Amino acid sequence: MRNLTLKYSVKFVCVLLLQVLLFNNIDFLGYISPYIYLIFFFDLPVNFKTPYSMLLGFLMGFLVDIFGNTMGVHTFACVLFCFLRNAWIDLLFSALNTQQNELTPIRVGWIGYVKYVTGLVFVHHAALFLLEAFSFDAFAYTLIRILANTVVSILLILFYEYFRSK
Amino acid sequence: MENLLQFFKRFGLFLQFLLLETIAIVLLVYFNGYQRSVFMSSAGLVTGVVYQGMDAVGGYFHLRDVNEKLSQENAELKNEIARLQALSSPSVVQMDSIAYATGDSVLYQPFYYLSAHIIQNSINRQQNYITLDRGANDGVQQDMGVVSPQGVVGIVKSVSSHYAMVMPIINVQSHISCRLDASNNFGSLVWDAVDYRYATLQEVPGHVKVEIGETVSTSGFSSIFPSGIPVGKVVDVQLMTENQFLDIKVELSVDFAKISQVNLIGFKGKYELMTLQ
Repeated sequence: MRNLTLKYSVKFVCVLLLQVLLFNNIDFLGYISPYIYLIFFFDLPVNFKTPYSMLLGFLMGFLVDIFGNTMGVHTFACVLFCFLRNAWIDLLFSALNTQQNELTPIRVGWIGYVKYVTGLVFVHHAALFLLEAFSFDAFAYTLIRILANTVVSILLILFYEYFRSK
Repeated sequence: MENLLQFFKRFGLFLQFLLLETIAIVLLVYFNGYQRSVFMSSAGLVTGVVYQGMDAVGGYFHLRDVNEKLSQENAELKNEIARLQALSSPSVVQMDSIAYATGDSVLYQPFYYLSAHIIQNSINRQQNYITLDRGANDGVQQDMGVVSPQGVVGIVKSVSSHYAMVMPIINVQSHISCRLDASNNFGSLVWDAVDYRYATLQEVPGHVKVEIGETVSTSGFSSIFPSGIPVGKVVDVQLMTENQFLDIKVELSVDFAKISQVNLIGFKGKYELMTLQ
């Protein structure tokens, strides 16, 4: 138990620092900067209870916001992400939902895993960029930002999971 | 009581969700206003220290660029010195019949400069901010102008004891009073959040002739920037049919993706001027 707590605490800090110090500085084409800190939540154990993951999501979002001067935006998107995470797992892999292990592409198959990541990343990014714009003006531009960033974030997360599962 | 417990069991998760999201929205609305808290931002102490440590490493990658710009600026300053020396040489003084009294406004230099280093910067958001490694302890104040050797960067929005947060031109809330150099017409420079290289000059009347390539600089109408600091050059002009004003697309002279060294401009008579107005 203590081992696991330590493992996830270290992972939390590493993912946060990677996000704010490295990935926040990536400005590909002027509007793409991937949000890879979601990796932490994708890799939580399947039966990790939603109330606790929402609190962790709040903390993670809040810290990313403080570093990025985007107060509230990531906090909102991240809590929403964690609220939907367990429900989404139930919906996709109802047989697995009581297990203690982490979800990996090997256990649920790559197609299932891509679905798992895509749905949640899209919801998170949609909430993120709509809140950041805080209006429906230039909606087409916001939509492009959502889609482009979603694709890049998903690719990076899958890339990471691929090497982790090898 | 039983019912209440049942209720919480069933809806507790959703209530927690609503509570956390409400806090997030409150944070969003409260802190994204014009006056942002210094403590919960990149100008805060902990985040400032982390970014400064990071910048100590990252700074090396920009050294070549910075050097080039510094030497350029050096050259310009030397020219300036030469010009001033020529002005104050004895022959000029002798020819000039006017004696300057001490405290004469001709000799009074109302603006002063502080140099600062950028430790955090973003260009891909709607509301971009820049964090500087100088704060109130170094004499930085709110509403100071920020310029780089290339031109205007932005305005200081909040200050902590060691760090300052700057709202650059490329923030949707930024408005800077600017002038078209050829025609001397004034307008307000705003940013539409699309491309960090371009901003829009608004409120210029439709009858004004604007040339592509014409330079745009600060108007000097506020106590933030002296007049004549370069902002950019005109790349496109369109007449807005609804209000007969021009929509002038300006290519900014500062490359916000690359800046790392800036100067802060202070105005000595600011408070005097503000109380007067």
